[in-house]
Amino acid sequence: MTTLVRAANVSKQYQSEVAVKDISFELQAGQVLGLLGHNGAGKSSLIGALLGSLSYQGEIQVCGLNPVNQRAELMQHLAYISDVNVLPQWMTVAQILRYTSGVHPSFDINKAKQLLSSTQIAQRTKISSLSKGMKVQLHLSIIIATDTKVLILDEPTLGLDLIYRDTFYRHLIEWFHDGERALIIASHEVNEIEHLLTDVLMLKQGETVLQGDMDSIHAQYFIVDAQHQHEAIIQQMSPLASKAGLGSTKWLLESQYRSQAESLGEIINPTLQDIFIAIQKEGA
Amino acid sequence: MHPSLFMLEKELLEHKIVTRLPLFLLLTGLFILGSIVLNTDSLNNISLQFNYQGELAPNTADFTQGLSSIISFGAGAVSLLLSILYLAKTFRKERQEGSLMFWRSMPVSDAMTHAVKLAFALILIPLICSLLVLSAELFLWFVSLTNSHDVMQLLGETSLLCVLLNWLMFVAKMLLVSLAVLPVACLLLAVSQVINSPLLVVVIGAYTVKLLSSYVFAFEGVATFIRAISAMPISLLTASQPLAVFAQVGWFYFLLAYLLGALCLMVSLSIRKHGELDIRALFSR
Amino acid sequence: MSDWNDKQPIFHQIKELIEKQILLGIWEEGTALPSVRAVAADMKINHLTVMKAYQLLVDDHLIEKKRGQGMFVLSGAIEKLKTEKKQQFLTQEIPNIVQMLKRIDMPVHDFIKELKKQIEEEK
Repeated sequence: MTTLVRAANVSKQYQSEVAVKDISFELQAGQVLGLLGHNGAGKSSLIGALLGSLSYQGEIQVCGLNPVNQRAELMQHLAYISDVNVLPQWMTVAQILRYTSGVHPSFDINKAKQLLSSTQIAQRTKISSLSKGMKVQLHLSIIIATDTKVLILDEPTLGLDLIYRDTFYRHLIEWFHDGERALIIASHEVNEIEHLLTDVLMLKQGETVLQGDMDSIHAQYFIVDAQHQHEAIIQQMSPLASKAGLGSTKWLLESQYRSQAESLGEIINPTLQDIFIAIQKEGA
Repeated sequence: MHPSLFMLEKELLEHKIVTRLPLFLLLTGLFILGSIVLNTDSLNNISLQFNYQGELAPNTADFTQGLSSIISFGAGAVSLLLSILYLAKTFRKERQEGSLMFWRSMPVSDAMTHAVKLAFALILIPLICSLLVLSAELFLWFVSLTNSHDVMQLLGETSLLCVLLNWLMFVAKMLLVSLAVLPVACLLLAVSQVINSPLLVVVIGAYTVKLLSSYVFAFEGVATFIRAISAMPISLLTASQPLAVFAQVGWFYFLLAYLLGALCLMVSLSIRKHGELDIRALFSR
Repeated sequence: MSDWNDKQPIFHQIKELIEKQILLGIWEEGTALPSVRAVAADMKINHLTVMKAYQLLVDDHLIEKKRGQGMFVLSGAIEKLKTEKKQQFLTQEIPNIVQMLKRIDMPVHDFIKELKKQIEEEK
């Protein structure tokens, strides 16, 4: 497998505030990394560093290139979609396709047109008059029509209705599956992306709080649905979170207590969302 | 086609005023010229006046040259204005509307972006405005072909060769203007990436520096330099001997302006590259 | 998004879904299953998860991978599944029923009578 992204000890500091501290990860082709954290956790700064749009300390290589010094070359294989629309509003769809075909060596304009022909997006329309969902779809179509190896999505479906979310993920998954690619999705809507991910990097106040592949993360935690009478015992296992239900409470515990807790109630697999919320709340 | 051509085309689409203002001026200009020339009554009056004044016959050539130079100065001033406005606006607009991230996501280097923006402001805009001159001259020539003796008398001798020559002269002059503006252009590109009203800041900044140097430090050199460089474009436009203007300013000031311009370009490239002004990154190459 | 339960990993749930569909005749023996890519896109999940589910089915000799053509339901898969489900019923469901009958004090012959009645109605 090819390593597409390598970040080592990346830090970013604004005047007095630390945005991102000492983050390291690697991403191989075929992996989907979930970059999870609340607003202000450092997701945007890390993405900015990966895109070469802000200076940072540490080492970053994307497709073997330095994002700051070799940005132009890198952008042939790196793409980015964010929640705020970055497409130039004053252009028409046809104009942006033409421009991209002119400056992007691997852009296949016919493929982009074909992708758009199955949507409501007309070539003559101005981008400013497209709906939010259409803009995201247009941007994704442009990216799919280029030879993108690494795609970074920053809260891509924020403010999108369900139907657009569905088409968005459908196109995304089909595209991803068609080649040796890697995907980074930053989101705080963990539910929505959980089953897409192969790996997770969870940030809190600029620092890594959870990192690893999905299987190992799931192996670190479990939930026990135990009756109230067991509360005292479970409290000793320092549960990360609890959710009271009728007659019983669900406790999120670390897996070292699994054998002890098995007799106390039903064991349930926690979702990534459960783990995410628990970790973000911890110590807050 | 080379990517830079697509980029120039994009600038043309984005900054429509660059084509619309000259087109508007051309149409109004042609309308005014046309109404003067085609209105035979008033023309007779004019020629009558000329006849009465008698000895003015040799001056008709002056009139033509006067008209030509008015057109040429007007077009030049419009071109200069459009260039300056464009340079102050282009980076700021991308930043404010948020499309900067999209342009940066394209495989285009910062140097290429700068080159295209400068070429657009300093070559393409003057060329567009030169079409204004060309059309006006062609119109006058066409009128002289088809119209009566009176007009010929008024406008003097004109030929297709003259038209072409005038046009080429204009283009050459505008390229000299562009050469003189280049350092300021680099300054505007740099400033407009961090400040929202770059023109104001540059003008006020220049005045402040001028005043400071003259009154606080009692050193006239800086003030003279700023005055000389800022007066250059207009002097070039009005001068009958443009090259003489360069000599007047002197190679030292010119060199200094270019050195400062180069510095501004480096700063501008660095801001574009790092997304912020990073002094260390500028010197650690 | 599909609704997954939190008792079992998703690839296991996909495997069971496909088994159920094979029994229902949605995927006939000898025909192809949808591609990994299509399933991933439809269910909005990672393709590795789909591949895992398919691998489990391959390991159970219910489907086979044909090089370059995808996954095919093996002949005899239905028979195999029926046997398996029967076994599952005997070992897992019957004890549950026994427990339930005890809890509600229902005699076995009442239960059998009720069962026969329902089967009659089905016909």
